[in-house]
Order: sequence, then C-alpha cells, then structure tokens
Amino acid sequence: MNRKRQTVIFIVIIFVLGIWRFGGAQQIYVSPEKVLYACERGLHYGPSDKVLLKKKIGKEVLVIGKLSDGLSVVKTEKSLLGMWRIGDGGITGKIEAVKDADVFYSNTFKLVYGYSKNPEIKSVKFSIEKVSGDSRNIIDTFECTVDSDGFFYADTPEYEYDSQSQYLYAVDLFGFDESGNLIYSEL
Amino acid sequence: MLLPEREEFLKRVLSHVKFKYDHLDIKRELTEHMEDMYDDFMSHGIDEETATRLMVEYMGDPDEIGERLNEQHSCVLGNIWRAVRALAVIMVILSIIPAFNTSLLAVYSVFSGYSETRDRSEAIYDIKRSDTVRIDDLYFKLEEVLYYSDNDLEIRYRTWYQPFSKSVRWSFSLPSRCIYDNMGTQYSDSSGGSSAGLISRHYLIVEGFSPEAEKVIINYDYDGRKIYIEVPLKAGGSE
Repeated sequence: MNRKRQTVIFIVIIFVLGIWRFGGAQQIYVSPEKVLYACERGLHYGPSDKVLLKKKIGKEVLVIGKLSDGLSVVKTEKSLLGMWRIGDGGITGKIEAVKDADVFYSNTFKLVYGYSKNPEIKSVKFSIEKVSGDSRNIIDTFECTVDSDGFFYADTPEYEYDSQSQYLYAVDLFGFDESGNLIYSEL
Repeated sequence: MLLPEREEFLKRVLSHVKFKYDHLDIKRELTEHMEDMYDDFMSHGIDEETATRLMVEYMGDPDEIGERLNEQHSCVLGNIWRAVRALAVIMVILSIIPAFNTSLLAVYSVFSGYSETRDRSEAIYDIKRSDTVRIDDLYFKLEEVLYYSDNDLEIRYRTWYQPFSKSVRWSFSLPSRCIYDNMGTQYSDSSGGSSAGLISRHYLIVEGFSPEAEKVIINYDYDGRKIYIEVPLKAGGSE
C-alpha cells in the first residue's frame, strides 16, 4: 500500500475515533452554546430562542438561554482540545417562569440574574441576603435594567462567607416601570 | 556478503535520499537485488571480482538512482505519514479502554432483562406491547404492562438514544403523574427504577390502580414533547 493511501487511512482513523472519543459519545462539544443545546435536547425542553448571557470564570462558563417560558441555565467547562462539556456539580437546567419576575444568585459565577414576564417592568432592585441559622442579613443591593427579552443580570463582588454554615440568596425583588413607579414586589 | 563496492554504491544512493526514516528499507531492498545479481553471475561461472564489478555496473548510476528514490520517498509526505500514523496509534490507544467499557455495557444492556422487583407469579395478567415513540433523540418503547393482585400496576419500558446523538444523554423516566386510567384518575403514588447502558430498562409500579379501569393511559406532555399510549386492560383479571 503506498504512503499516500496509508496517510489517508490514518487520517480517517483519527477523524472517526476523534468524533467517537471527543464528540457526542463522550458528551464533549465545540462550544459552551452547543453544551447548552445538547443539555436541552437531553432533558427534553427548549431549545432556547437565544443565548442571553455567557459568564466566564476560569475554565467554566455559565450559559443562560432564553426559553418561551423561562430560562435555561447550564454550567459548562473547558475540556481537551478546546472542547466543552457540562461543568462539575450538575446543571440548573430549565427555570420555569412561575412568578411574574424572579432573581437568582450564583456564587460560583459571582452573578445575579433573573427574568421578568411583565413587559412593563423596565428596571429591578434586589438584595443579596446572607443566611446563617436563624440570622438573615442583607449584605448587598443591586439595581438593574431589564432588557427587551425580560432578562436582567449583574456581576457581584466576592462575598466572604462560610460555605459550610452560611448561604447566600438573591431576595426582595422589586420591579419598576419606565417612570420608576413600583409595579412589582415579591415581598 | 559484505562487499566494499556494494557498500560504497549504497552509500552514494542514500546520500541523495533526504527522508532518512526510509534509508533502512531502501538499503535492504537494493542489497537484496544486488545479492541476487551477484549470485546469478557466480552461478554462470564468473569469478568473484568480475561478478562484483558487473553487479555494480548493472545497477546503474548511483546518483541518478538516489535522486529518483528521493523523489519517490518524499520528505514532506514521509513526515506527514509518520505524524498521522503516530496520532492514529495514540487515538487507538486512547479509545481502547472506553471502547471496551462501552461495548461491554452495550452488550449487557441489550441482552439483560428487566430487574424482577416483584414476583411475576403474583401478576393477575400481563400485556405485551411494542409502542415506540421518539422524543428529541430518545426512543421510548413500551414493552409490558403487568397487573398484580394487590392492585399494583407495573409498566415496563425501555429507552435508548439514537446513534450519534449529540444530546447529553440524561436518563429518562416516566413520571407517575402521567399515568391515568380511562375514568380520568391520575395516579401519583409510585415507585420505579432503571438500568444503565446503551439500552435502559425501566419499571414503574403504580400503586392502587383501579381494578375497574379498562385502560391505562400514559400521557406524558412536557415542553412540547409528547408520549400518548392507551393500553386496554383485562379488567377484573378474568383473562
């Protein structure tokens, strides 16, 4: 067998095994967005109309997609050869928009994000609460504009807390109209 | 046989071939050819010195042969060939253990049966089915419905992903809330389990299923994905 033919055969072997080893069979994808869509198909919801946000911390990227009835949140991480896979610790998946508006906090990604189903809500205000046993303390407050997709987010600083005994939550969400009038409160 | 004339000839030929990786093969091939010629001359009664001289003469100009061989044994193609061959070997090695594990699990999942969580002899009746529904890249196949004397209804089904699916392969289990009877009762008390593998086998045991029901209805409807199967039952266990 001549060398050109052998080279072609080796390339085919590399390609086929590469697809098998690093492709779908091993749940590795070419981008964080592809991981999001693959998760949605595997969990049988979506697909997201669009990617609203990608937040990168180190080798991990949080991808948030827009669903017709909520958000799709998938944690991804860099794998071999520039490929991507689901991040350690599982994923949030679909957040169904049950309330008119809601807000969530991710300590890993130092991010607060949320949605509003009410198109009148143009801006929101909310707080980060540290819970330790029965003690609850507001440690930070944010104001964000809500975009045309009803999505809002803000980066947070690194909060000092004991992850074994304390928890951080995004709470006390208020929604305001264009004129700044309070039109939504979860209190 | 080690002849200085032959070695000199080979050295001159190889001095033109830039792809050194092939030197050994070229040397071996030319040596064999020259030895055959030498033996041929000797068998015709030609003396050693003449046979050696003729052997080298008959081979031709070593510089011309060397240049031709250099074209045939291209350095660029040769290095690409070596690189992809090495990469192919690495890929094969990297794939052997996962392939073995996957194959073993795949074979096991194909040929293994359902885990017998209940004694089949307690079943009043069982109904074999073969309803297949696809949601996204996942196939759902209802295989059997069993009804037990204590009014438990067991639904057995298997799921598998289509080959080369790009979905993340989460396991899929029917939630009990999608089980109804023909009288509109929705059942929520249940237990179940699944096996892993290429083909997953699942069982769902619905507790307190009405003995009067004539049908069990599987009505899964989530985010536009639907599984709707009606299974006529042998009500009262008379058959």
